[in-house]
Amino acid sequence: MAVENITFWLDVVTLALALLSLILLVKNREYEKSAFETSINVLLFALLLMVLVKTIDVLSLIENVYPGVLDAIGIGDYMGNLVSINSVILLPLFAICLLVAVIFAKDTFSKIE
Amino acid sequence: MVMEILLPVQKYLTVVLLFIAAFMWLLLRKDRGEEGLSPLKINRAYTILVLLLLPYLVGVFSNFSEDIALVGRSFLTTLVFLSLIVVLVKLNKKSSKERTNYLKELLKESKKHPIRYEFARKIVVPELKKLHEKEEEIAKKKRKLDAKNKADQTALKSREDKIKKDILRYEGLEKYVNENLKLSETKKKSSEEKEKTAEAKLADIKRLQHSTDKKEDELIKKAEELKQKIKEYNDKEKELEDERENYKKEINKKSNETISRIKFEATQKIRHREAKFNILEEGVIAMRKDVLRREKNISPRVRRIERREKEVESRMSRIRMKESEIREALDNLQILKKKMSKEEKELNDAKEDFEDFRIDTESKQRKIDRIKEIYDKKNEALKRRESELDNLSSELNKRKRNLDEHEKRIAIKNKEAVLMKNKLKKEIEEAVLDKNKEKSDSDLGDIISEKPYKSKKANGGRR
Repeated sequence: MAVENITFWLDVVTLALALLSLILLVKNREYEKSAFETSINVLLFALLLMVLVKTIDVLSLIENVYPGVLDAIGIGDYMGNLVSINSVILLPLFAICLLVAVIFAKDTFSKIE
Repeated sequence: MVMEILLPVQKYLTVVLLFIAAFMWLLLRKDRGEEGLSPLKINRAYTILVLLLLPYLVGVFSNFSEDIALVGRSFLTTLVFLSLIVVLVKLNKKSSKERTNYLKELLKESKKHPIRYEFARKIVVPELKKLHEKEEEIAKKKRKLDAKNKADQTALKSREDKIKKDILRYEGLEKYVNENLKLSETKKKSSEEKEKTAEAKLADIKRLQHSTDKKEDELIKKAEELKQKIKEYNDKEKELEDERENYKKEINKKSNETISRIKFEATQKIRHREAKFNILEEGVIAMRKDVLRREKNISPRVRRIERREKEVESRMSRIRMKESEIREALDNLQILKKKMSKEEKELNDAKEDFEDFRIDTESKQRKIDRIKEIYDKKNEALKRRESELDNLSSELNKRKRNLDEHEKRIAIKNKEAVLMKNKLKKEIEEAVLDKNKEKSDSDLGDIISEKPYKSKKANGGRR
């Protein structure tokens, strides 16, 4: 129970930090060269996916900390599907986006040379 | 079943993809170094995000219990995002500071920052274009308004003129009608007078008839007298009688004709005048009716004119308002123009600065080109000299080789010469020995060396 509690709160903090980092990254995008715009956009999309992943993680863990919350919201029945979507689609997509962002950045560096 | 297989596979796939991304990025970082990645300001954010591999690696490949792995994964993720936020906040502060510095530098007139030109080119010039376009639009609107005002004024003037003309025409018509009335009255008077004159004429005619009657009586008297005379003159009497009868008839005819003609003419004239008078009377009545109708028609027109005058006044007031607005807009425009002229001056200054800079750079470039050309020429000359030197060295080498060969040949010839010399010496010695032998044969007691003796013996033997 304590472990789940700790994980839940850590995930909540992570979600908040991910959201904040998304906003800061959007702000920082203004100061970047236009050549890197594509790469940064892909990175932003990856971060958005991470936010979604963390949201689903938080939702999956909230039931353990505050039982009956999901049923009260009305998404208790879909949680299993959401968790499976999370690990089957969203996480690999996040990894792909990160990889694509790195590839784009590398390409841009080579073009700048 | 499919999900049970797919879930771990996807987890591994995620880890593999993240690993590839991390590997690529860290390799790039290693190749380029911190300075090489400086074009991308948020390169540290990439590095930290790539480190998200660690929590997933812990989640998949750890030997710890599930709970510890879960907590560890969450903790690592939190740490990664925390560090990401710290880095992003720092970067944001730094970048915003740099930007504000750039902007401050832009405001300084003394510094020639490249962004100034870019700023002038990308921001000031389009704004100036927009201002020009607005100016043109306002000028067009003003022209349109002026044209409209002029057209309205001309239309109003033409309407006023028309109305004035109508009024004048109506006044003229009124006058004409009055005159016609007066004329008809005068004509009536004149017709009455003419009637009187006709009556007088009739009286004259009657008087004439009376006089003719009198003359007839006189003539009858004279005829009676003449009858008496005719008696005397019978031939002449008949003729005179015929003449008299003819004359009488003619006179009667003429008198009747003239009377009837004058009567007819007078009656005709009277009738004609009466008809004219009737027509005139009818015309006058019709004119009166027309005048009344027109008066009736004019009254709404007058009302309309008054209404239009009011409308015109209101329009004029509106136009004045618009004029005042236009004046205000013109004042604003002048202010804008002044601003624009100031900005243009500044731009021109900037352009001049830029031109100076460009000219300097061009002159420098030309100098560099000249130096380059000179350098190229020198380089070419050096190459030519090098090639000449190479040729010379190759010739020298050839000559050296020739000399060496020559030396060798000379050495061989020297050797041959030495050998020849030795040979000749030997022959000379032999010849001398032969001479000496001949002498010793002749002169006994000469000592002969063993060598010439042997050779001599050998020669003698061969022989």
